[in-house]
Amino acid sequence: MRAEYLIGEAAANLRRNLLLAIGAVLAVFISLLMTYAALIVGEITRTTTLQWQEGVTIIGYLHEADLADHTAVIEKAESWPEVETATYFSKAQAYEEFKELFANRDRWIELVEPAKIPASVRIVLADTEAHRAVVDQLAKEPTVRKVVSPEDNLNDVLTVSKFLNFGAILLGATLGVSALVLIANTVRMAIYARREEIGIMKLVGASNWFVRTPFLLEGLIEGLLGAGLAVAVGWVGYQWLLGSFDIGVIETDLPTSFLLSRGMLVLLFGGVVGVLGSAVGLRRWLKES
Amino acid sequence: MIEVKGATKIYDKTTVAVRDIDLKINKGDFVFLVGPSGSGKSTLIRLLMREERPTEGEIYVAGKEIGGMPDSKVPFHRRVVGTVFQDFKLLPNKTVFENIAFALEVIGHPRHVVESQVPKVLKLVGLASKGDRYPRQLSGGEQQRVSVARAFVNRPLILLADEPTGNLDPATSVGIMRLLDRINRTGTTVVMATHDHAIVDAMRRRVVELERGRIVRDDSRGVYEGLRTMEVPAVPANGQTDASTSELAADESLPDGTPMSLESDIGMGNA
Repeated sequence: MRAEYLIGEAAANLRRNLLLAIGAVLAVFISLLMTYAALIVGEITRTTTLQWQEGVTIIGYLHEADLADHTAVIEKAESWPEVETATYFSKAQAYEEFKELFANRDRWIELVEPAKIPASVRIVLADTEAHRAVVDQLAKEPTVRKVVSPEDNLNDVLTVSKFLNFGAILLGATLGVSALVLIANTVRMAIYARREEIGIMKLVGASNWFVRTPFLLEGLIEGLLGAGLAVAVGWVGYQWLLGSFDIGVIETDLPTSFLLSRGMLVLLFGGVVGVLGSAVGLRRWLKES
Repeated sequence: MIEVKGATKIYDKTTVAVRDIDLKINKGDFVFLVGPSGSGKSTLIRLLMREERPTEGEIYVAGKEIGGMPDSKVPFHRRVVGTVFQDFKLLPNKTVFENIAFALEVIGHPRHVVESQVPKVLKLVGLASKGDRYPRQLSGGEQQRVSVARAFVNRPLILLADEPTGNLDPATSVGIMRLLDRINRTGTTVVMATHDHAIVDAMRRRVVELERGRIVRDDSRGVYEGLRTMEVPAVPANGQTDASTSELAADESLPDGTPMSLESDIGMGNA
């Protein structure tokens, strides 16, 4: 009877304050949708970056020179402690690779003369952190014409995604605070609407938790509803984007376990925001006997 | 049952509501707190129900010091103390039955207790047939009976009443007093703050008079305006006539100053 009573009271509070409750749920929803989306985007960036970073290669294109000069550069590069392997990639190998890469673009292959494609040194790093130093050092070598590294592009992607992530989290946090305030407000309104009843409950010796629980439950329900909505919309939205766009190199296919675990996290967070919000709303009443 | 030791209550650091009150009330006593408005009667009641904490001093109720009691313990204190107010404090959207049941439900009594206790107490207050009415459908006197029933339904050791007849006409007040008297006879200690001369004079119970926050008189079988037993500046009579007294006396066919006899018409029944 008690559990029934407490839940019934919480539901009655929600009904009485429907408009405000909807506002609070929506605020939680938007805030947590941002957070959930940021988590998903973050994971996509992370897995993609990982994939690119695995065996990151620095390519140093070489001037036309004797094989001996080329070999000297490669041996030198190999002696650097940050370098795991430095391999020679001859003109012929480069042409083969080119043909492979553009197998479906016959015209390009026709246009390119094998002799025009430079030989290169390909470096796999032992320590990806030292990437910049190796690039600089390699560029100083006279035989090296130009150094390219996928990391240059990667860094741009990472910067942009970090910035986007940060923005999303910041916005999510701001909206999270507003959700908390809205929940506190709905709870306060509910308390105000029932102040006589609460006064009498206290008069006849209802325990403080008995008085508070329906309001805490109300906040919890609002928080969970908003969070649940956010996870559902985030999940469906992600699947839809996945189906609609094929963003080639980017690894977009996240495991369900990831979506599920982060979804749980978001739900938990929603519940916490809800309970916290109603605790803030109840604060004055928590203090009073 | 109740022992107040040197209790002082100061509001907002400047307004002294009661000052250095010493008061002992035994189990089963019926005590009137009298005195003009602002004399500290209501504050004393509020201190006893722990609606307020004393600024200084100690208050023992049923063996527990309640002044310094942590807030979390207060609900348990409230369960041994029933309270009745001038304005009834009934919930308008609940029936009489539900209003009384509410007091049992919120302290966790199971349904079968509610279903057996509420009709009993309704019968006690003479509203057995009106359980399904709403407060607005009842007269003031009936509403106050409901409020008394609610205060009494979980059998408190002490019943605190703050001007319970303040909104009622003299004849109705008599009915409420009979009820409180009857509850008192079950062994419940009753402490009632009142302005009502007629009632105090007719009941001839212990009278504690307050003035400007101090106890100025404590008569074991007193009347409203007795001789001060303690040093006091004289207070002018406050103009309330004795019309109600005579009405009460006429109603009860009692000579002034004799204790009201109540057994005859309500009996001791099942209380």
